[in-house]
Amino acid sequence: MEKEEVELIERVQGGDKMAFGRLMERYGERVMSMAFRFTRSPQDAEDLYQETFIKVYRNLNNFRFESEFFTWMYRILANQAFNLYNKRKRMTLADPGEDDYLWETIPDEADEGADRMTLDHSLREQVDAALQQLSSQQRVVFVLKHFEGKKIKDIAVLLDCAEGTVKRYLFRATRKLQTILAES
Amino acid sequence: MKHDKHFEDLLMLYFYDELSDSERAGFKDHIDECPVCQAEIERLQAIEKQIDRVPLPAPTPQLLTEMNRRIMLELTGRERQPTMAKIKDLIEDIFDSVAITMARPRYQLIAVGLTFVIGIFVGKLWLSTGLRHNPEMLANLVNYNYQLTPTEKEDVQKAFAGYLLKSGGIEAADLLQADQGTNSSGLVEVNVKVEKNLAIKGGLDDPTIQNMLMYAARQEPDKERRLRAVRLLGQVTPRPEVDETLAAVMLRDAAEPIRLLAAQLLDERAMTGQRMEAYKSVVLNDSSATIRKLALEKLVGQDDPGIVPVIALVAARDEADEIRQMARDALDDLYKNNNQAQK
Repeated sequence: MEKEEVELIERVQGGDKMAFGRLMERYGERVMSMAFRFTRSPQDAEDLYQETFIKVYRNLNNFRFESEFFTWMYRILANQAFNLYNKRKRMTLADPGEDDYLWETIPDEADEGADRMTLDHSLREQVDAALQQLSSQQRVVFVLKHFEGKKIKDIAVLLDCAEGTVKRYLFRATRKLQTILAES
Repeated sequence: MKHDKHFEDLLMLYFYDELSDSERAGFKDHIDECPVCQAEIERLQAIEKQIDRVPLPAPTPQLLTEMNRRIMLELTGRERQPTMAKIKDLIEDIFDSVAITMARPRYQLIAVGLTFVIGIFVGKLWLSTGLRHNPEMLANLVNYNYQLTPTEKEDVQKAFAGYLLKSGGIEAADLLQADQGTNSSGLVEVNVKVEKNLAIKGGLDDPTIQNMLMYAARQEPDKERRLRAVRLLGQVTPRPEVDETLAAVMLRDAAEPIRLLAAQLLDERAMTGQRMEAYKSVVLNDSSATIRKLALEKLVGQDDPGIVPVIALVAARDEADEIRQMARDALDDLYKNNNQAQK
């Protein structure tokens, strides 16, 4: 772990809130990107981001420098996403490209033509909609496996559940996505 | 190898590279020969490509700045909150944590298991408490089961009585409760009949009831209940087991009134060898002069040479003057009778 990072964490553990702001600046982008991967919704991603950092702040005194800080924070993020239940019951999916200027779409490096952007936009809508139809548990497991490349046993440890449970979520998520994307 | 449903999960594990090297090699051989699995693998690969093509949006610096600002406000704002608001937040957080934890399948299973165990315990407690204080509940359990024949009902009643007997004291309380309710069925009915000395003494002749009373007379911790059990046993048609119980109570009960009552009840019963020994022990050892006197009266006039040394001891040692005098008079009478017999 970098010295600067250790100092920041120790300062926060000592009660320095401003140091926590610096930590958020350091890791914010990664956490927000992951939050979006887990939720596939900008509003849910923002909620998850906020909940994660608040939980990180409250539990920072439990961090013993036995692992990388981001690894520890990642675990909190994944568990928050895994247990996510939407208090406001918000079901609509906003398109970040049109409705939320605070999110920007990463263009495809191979082809930046307008037709290609439209096609990708449409495809993203389909995929996001499909992923949104999964339960939060299925979605998080699928993301950890498919996008993060984690092994089932590691996902089980991360989410504090049995490997059989992880397999169940993964298989159901995959089959469901197959059905939904095939229909669309 | 023919395609099998079992292969569906294996196929998923193969696709996600979760099989060991040997498993993977073995399953690859199957895939090479199974058109169903080949088609499925292609479908999964197509989905994978479709998902991977989708570019993900990235948060702008403005978004992150705004989010961080909100979080810092939240964290500092919580410190300035009034205490009650903080407590409310804390309670909400606790509920949320519990809800999140209980949503996990493992904890749901534990919750179901605990509910089952607690339910059985509460049910048992409720049942035994209900039976303890509301014998009508017991009666209703039987009476409203329309499928039982009268004989079966009686057997169930006796089985329940046996259960209560093993629980200790409960059945005695039901039988011997001081306040007599107006219930008209089950054990309460028996109790009411006995306490009011109604004509139907058939209840007391029931061996199960007698067993309960004998148990209560010997074992019931409450003195008043033991006294009532002994009183009721006095009304039972004499039989050896009941007399033995009364003798045991006369010998060993801690309370004098109960020992006295047992002795008085036994006074009306025919003497046996065993009872004789009991009286001998009582006349020499009981702490109550009244009881010792009663035992002595019972022994005197018995045609048993073995009582002479006992009476002699009483004449020499008893604390009460009256009893020592009684014993001396009894010895004198024995001597006179003996002399007359020899003449």
